Amino acid sequence: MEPTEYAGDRHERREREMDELARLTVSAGEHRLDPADAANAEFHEWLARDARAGQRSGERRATEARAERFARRMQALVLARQLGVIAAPSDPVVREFRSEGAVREGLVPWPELGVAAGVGRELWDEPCERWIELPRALATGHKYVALTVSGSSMEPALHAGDVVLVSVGANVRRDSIVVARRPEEGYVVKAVGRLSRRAIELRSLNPEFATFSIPRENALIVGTVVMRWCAHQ
Amino acid sequence: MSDAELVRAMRDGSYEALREFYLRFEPLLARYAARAGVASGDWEADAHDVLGAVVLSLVERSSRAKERESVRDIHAYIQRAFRNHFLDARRSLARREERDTRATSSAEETGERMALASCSEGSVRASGGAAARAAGPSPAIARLAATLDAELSPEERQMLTWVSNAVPMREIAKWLGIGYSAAKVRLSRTRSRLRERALRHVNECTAAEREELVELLRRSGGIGRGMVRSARGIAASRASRVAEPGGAHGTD
Repeated sequence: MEPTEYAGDRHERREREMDELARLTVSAGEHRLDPADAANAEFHEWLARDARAGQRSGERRATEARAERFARRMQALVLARQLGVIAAPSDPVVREFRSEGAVREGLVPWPELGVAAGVGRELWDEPCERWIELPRALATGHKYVALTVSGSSMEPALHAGDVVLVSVGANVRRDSIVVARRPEEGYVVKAVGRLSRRAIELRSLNPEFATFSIPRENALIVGTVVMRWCAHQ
Repeated sequence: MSDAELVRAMRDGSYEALREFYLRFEPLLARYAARAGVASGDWEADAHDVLGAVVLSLVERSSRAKERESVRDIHAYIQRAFRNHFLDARRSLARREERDTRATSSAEETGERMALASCSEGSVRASGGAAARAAGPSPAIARLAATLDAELSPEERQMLTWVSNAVPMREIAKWLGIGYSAAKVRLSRTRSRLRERALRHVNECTAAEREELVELLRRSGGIGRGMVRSARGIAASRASRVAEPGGAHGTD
């Protein structure tokens, strides 16, 4: 018979050892657990709780800081997606050369003009020196223009400094984001609210800005925002 | 806030809900990563990518499907997104290293495939070396894991998964709807069967693999010091030891 002082050690070692073998075994099939099984759902909830409880206070603080950055970026993404705007998969590829009017295949003009600014200036009169390569996700054959957002009226979906890609055309849908020309004020980027035969309601996402309407005239609509590059990423 | 309410609020783009979602599930993701033995160069970027992909699936899905369904899927989504992000990255790293060293053999391809399935920190560690860590467990260990896994019924796999995640026995008994001691008995039976199967597998494989597996099993305790003295000695001990499962350790 072995000395008693080893019995406890042996027991503990055996427990640990068998867990190791169990772990190796389930490593091959763990992901096959049926998520519809109520017991597995309880397990996953337990695991998430246990992982949270295991955090030390320093880790917890670091997680909170990351959570805030995550929430800010995801909020912009979710809100923009609901309004039909997708996030660009990568940074814009910018080319710089001067061109009067002539548009090259696969290149989108990016004039030096904020979408909330530019009283009385015509978008198309600007000679363009910056171009962005059209991302592959978008169909060619459309006319596009890229514009820089200024102002905070579309927070939190769009921030000042973001670049939006606008599909040019006068077709407007409710719950999309359009760039329109506001008589007497210039170009604005806004969400489309109620549509009637005579007017288009344009609303800001930032509650500090009032909703207004513009006459429903094709000449006042530049186009619909389909993609954006966030300045914060 | 329940998970269902959380998903609903996230769909409306609520900052608070998105923050809460991250706080709720980032630690879980960190645990998955630790268990799989994946090192993250930039944890914030990795966690953001995985949880961000989950949020988008939940938000898009809940606008179409029933909400209860999408909530039940949260954990499945997280696991899938985790696998895609970390383990696929690991596989492509392994592939790159493989190209660099020009070491291509059919055995290594098997190992690469298994990297997706295997998430055990222990098995990854046991296979040793930086390249092996990137490629997952060695083929011999992966085959042992697959053999043992094939032995399990769905209920046993479920129970072992819980056990290997350090869920207390009382919780397990509750989830199974049986008593505490009944659960202990069920577990110890499963464990002895695994131990037995592991020994049988070791005895059936080639000498080179056997050496590696004996090393692993000795470290992990699947076979005790008394049972195997060396890789060569295992064949001799086979007859006497396998006959009485558990050998020197006895049963729990």
